[in-house]
Amino acid sequence: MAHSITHVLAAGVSLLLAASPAWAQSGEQLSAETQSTGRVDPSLSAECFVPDGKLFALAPQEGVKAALDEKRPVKVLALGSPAMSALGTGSASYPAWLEHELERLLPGSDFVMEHRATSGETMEDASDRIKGMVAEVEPDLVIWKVGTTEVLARTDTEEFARSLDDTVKWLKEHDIDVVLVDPQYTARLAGDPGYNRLVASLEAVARANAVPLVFRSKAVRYLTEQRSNAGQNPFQLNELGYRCMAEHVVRAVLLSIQQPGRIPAQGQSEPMK
Amino acid sequence: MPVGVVGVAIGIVVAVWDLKPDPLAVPEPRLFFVLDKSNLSPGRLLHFLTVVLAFQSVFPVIARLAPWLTRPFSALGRNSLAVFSISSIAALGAQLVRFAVPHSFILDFALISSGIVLLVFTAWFVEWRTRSPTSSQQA
Repeated sequence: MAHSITHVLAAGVSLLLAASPAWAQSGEQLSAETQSTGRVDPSLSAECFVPDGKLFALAPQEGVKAALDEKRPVKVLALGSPAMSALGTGSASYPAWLEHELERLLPGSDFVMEHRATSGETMEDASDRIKGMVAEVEPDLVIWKVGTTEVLARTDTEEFARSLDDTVKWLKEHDIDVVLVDPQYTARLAGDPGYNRLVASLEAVARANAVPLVFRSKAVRYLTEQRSNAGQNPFQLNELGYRCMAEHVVRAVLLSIQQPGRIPAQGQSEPMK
Repeated sequence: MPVGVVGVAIGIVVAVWDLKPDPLAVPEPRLFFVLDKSNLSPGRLLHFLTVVLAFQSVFPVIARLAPWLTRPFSALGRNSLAVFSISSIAALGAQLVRFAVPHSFILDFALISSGIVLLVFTAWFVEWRTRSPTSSQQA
């Protein structure tokens, strides 16, 4: 499928500018707001609410559970774009927000967040670097946003899936829990066959390795469609996407911790088959 | 040169068969033993030195047989900062083109070829500016 240069630039710029999060809501505001909505899922804010089926697939998180049981700090390695750790005026960064929310929703816990950028590398190149980062940080949990670079670079989907599968298996062999987050969504990518193939292959790898997967693309698509008739500013939608991604990741971690045993459980969302 | 050739051969074997050590299985200090691009471990430094040793013996032969090849590529090295800056921008542009156009071998070949031409031109332009009479007068 050929795209006009205008569409390409818009898609490319929107993907690149999506790396500019700004967090505005405090945990206390979220708690009061969600309680007042009467929704089933208290850890999600009203503006980030997405039906469970479009949100994540769950799987057990034995390493995090063990760290919590032993009452020791849980080390988390968040992998993503460099701008995710940028500080905004009066706002918290994505890693800081993750740490705050996890500790708020798991009283008595201590989460130590480390953020490392995987700047512009495809999966094959990033794999060695990620192993090095893991060796340096020695995390209990890796939260890994994958696929955006591969979408832009039009990487072969099979190569991507193979490299991702190898790296996830390596992490699991070393008893490190993993939460995957699929790539950034923009309206212009909704019908792109390469994007959809990559997202599908990511879901297959997560399913095969029984690791939780946050359906960021589906969630942001849902949130975008809910707001499409309000003429939303695309930059505001990108910011919302990042803010909600953190909420969705926290929710996926919390629910996955509660999953029994090593057998992939049928979570609230799409089951791990 | 034999040491260089052996070092290059070992590097090829390690790369092709993915024999890099598991970073979590090596003793402390771990970064001393790994071979990823983020760190200049002794293994990577040794490999680089053997590449230099091997190449310094081979380069005069190539320069004699194909000066049209060695002159522009040597210029790239002499003007590495400018070449790197332009290559970063060109790489981004090429990514956008590959995103827009159904990719094929011909497209990739065209992009890479034009990219190399652009970088050689960049190196030539920087050196031309240095040599130009205006630059000489200002100096």
